[in-house]
Amino acid sequence: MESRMRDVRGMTVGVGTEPCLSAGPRWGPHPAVLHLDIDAFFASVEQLRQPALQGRPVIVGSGVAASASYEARAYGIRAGTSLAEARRLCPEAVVLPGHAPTYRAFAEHVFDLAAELAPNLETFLDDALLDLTGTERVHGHLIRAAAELRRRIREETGLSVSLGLATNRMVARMVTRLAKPGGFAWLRPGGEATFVARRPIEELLGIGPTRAALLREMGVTRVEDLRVFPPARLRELFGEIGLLLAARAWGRETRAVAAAEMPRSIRRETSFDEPEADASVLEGMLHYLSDRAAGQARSLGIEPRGLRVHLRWADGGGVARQATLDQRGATTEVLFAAARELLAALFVRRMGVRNLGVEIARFRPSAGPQLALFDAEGESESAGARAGRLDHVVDLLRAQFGFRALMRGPSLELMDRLPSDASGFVLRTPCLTR
Amino acid sequence: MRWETLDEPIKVRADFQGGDVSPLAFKRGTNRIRVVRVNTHWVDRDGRRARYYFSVTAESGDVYQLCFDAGDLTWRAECVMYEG
Repeated sequence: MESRMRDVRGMTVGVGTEPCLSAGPRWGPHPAVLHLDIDAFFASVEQLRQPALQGRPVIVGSGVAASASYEARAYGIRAGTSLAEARRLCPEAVVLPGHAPTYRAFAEHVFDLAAELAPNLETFLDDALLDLTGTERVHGHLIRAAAELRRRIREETGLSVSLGLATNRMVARMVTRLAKPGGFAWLRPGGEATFVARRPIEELLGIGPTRAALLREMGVTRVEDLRVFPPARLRELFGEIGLLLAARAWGRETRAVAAAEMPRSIRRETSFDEPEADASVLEGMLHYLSDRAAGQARSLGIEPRGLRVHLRWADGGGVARQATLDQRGATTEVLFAAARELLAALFVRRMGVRNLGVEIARFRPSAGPQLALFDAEGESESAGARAGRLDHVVDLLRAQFGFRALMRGPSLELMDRLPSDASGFVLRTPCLTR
Repeated sequence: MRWETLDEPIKVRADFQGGDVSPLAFKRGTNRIRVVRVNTHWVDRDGRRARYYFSVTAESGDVYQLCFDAGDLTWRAECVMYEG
């Protein structure tokens, strides 16, 4: 077992696979956030399911790589690399479509183990944030407790995880990068500003490719370069998030673990084995995808204001349309009705469709279904309220018996065409991305 | 490399000791297939019934995915993995 310490601009960052040797003093009363990231998640699960894949380059995805094993990464393949490019870079790579319910089951097992350590846990698709603040009296030395968690995950699931421990969630995520793959890094309290200073600007939370490109044009390549800008100037450049970036450039992040996080968008899409030109099948799939997206939004207590439908033709061309949802309490049926209108406007060529997707965005907290101002005479509740109640009951049933327990509307068109399991239809390319 | 769907009921001899379940052998038609290795296992708890999945390597070297439904206590061979 290797153990090493790395010094970053005068601040000590421990990095090792056996931290017990170098864990140093206890964490003390400082905030403690542990970031847990499952290494090459989907590809690793496939290597576990099929031992013949171990040691071989494995890619999971369709159209683009959703996950690449470390053997595939050695060829320059990353999540997001197109499969055509991936095959060019590594012709011997094994490409698999993936199976989302299996990955979800593995992730739940990992997160269940993590929950034993952290009273406050925030989970994502393949990573999690654990708030360990104040738990040292329960668990003993935090660094050793985290190392023990990593060992248990490996033993019980076979998966390798990387860990990063710091005083806030942003720095913990950045520290995890130093530990990948399969390692554990930690940054002791007080070292945040110095640590983040030399990191590439792209690593700062809130800096995506567009903002990074703009900043690099301005000569900002490292996080410390951002500090010369007054917060007001960053707000002019990037809006309200500019103020957050000003604080983050000094390693400060105030958002708590498990704070309700509103996603930017929820996307559900799939491709078809053969280009699909049957309008009833496309409508059925659109309804199914809308139902899944709307159900996910309801489970988070949010409702969308924006809707986008996109499709890719058999010849590779792609089109998309979007609409604003005016009605509050967007139910599955409201969402589907709007999506169907968009699809009708898009589906204008005499050609099959290779890929279909629904994306909802611009969320706000859910206010429940909106009551109509004038109900039809004799009706005790509006159609919107009824649809909202129906969604609620459907969600309860599916939570208890699985998504397939209750299929409805045009989705039924798919019953004889697609295989299904308890989680719903087995799509050719389920949405594997966040 | 591909998975071929089987989705067929099977009879399984399994070890249920220690709160864990582990398949030891199963019968497909008249063929009795011995499990030489459980590669991995996972539990799908979507819905009320838990389903226990196993990726197992048979004596022949084939890799099967088996499923035990804890609701009706039945086993199924879901698929088999082929090279090529």
